[in-house]
Amino acid sequence: MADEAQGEPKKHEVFEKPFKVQPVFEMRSTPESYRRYPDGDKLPSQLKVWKVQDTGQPFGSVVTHSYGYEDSPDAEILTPGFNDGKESGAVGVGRHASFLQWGFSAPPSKLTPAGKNFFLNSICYIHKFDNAAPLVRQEAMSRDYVVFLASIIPQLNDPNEFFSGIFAPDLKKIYQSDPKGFGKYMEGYLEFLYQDNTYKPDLELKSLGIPTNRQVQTLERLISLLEDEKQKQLAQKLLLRYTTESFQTPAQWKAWLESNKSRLYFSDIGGYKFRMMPEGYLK
Amino acid sequence: MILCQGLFHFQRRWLGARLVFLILALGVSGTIQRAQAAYDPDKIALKILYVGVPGSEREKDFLSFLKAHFQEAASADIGKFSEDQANNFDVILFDYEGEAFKAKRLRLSQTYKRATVTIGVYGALMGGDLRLKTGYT
Repeated sequence: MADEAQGEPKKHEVFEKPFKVQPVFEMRSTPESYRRYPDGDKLPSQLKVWKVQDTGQPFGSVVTHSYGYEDSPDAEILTPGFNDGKESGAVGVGRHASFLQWGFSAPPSKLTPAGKNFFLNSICYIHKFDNAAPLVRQEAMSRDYVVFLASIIPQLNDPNEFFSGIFAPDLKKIYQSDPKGFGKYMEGYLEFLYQDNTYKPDLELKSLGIPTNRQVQTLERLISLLEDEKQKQLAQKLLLRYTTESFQTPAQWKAWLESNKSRLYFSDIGGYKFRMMPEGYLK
Repeated sequence: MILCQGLFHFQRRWLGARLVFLILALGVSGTIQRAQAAYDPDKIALKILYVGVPGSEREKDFLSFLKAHFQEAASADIGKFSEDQANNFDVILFDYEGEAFKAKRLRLSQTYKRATVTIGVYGALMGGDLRLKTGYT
């Protein structure tokens, strides 16, 4: 990452208190590296940035991929960082539970006035999360990133490596029949991707006519299918796949969903499962 | 006899308590560079622990900035940090001067959940070790 945060600051207390952060905006040419990532071709030729620090170096600081960053309620992106290695939107400053990662590298004497205020506010802001444990930890890559990896395989010397460690081996035939189309193929199954040691589309879920694996309605539909003699075995299998529960009867599943629906979220990063946030977590 | 045993146990407990105090004093407080300043109503009412490379220009830079804005700011050595050292502070900052990828990394436990700011590449590597979303990917 360079010296700059990217885009206008979002409406968030970390830019407001105790000190008002007043960025000085500049326009920068869109890095060529952004074009390699999904939707990179749709970016304008110039992007709005603001300096957080003044080292004059285009590197030295660090961004984290944004894919899946906010798929659990314990994490948030505070600002993207302007960078030439990862995607547009990669995280320069972000929070997960009680940890705030300040990706900029300069010591305070090299922060701009806006950067100093942002840094001070970040310290004050993270104090609110003292003793907040993470709800999820990194168990898997997010589906957007998996699709990105699928799209770059043709550029790699050893695609076999991807099919032994990342993608399910039975997808290799599909890749071999159309290497350049493999990314699009996986993107077509975006709503069905999941991880079971390797990443693959959930064709079992799709066969039930359910449009996605990550909406609470998916659970409702699966639970209703437990009453269907033909589908009940598959429905039970999928409920075990996408939750951390192991109920055996439709009544137990129903009662669990009714009591906890408002606290459920689906996290790719947390292992492609519905998880439950603690009572009152979002207050 | 019973009285003697009671005294013996009391002495042992008392000596044990003194020993614990001594260990805490040397092992914890001894490694934190801390100067108690008078309360300043113009400063942010938080106690900050900066954990970095002792004696470095970078540490001085951070400490001077933090002391100017927060009620209290102290420093500790990232190479010798133990989680107990965070106890008397509100926010802990972890920072490193030098090549982060080559540095021996501080490994926090999975149960550590204090309000923390991790800085730069070293901070992202720490986040990765903890399998946090803030981690280097």
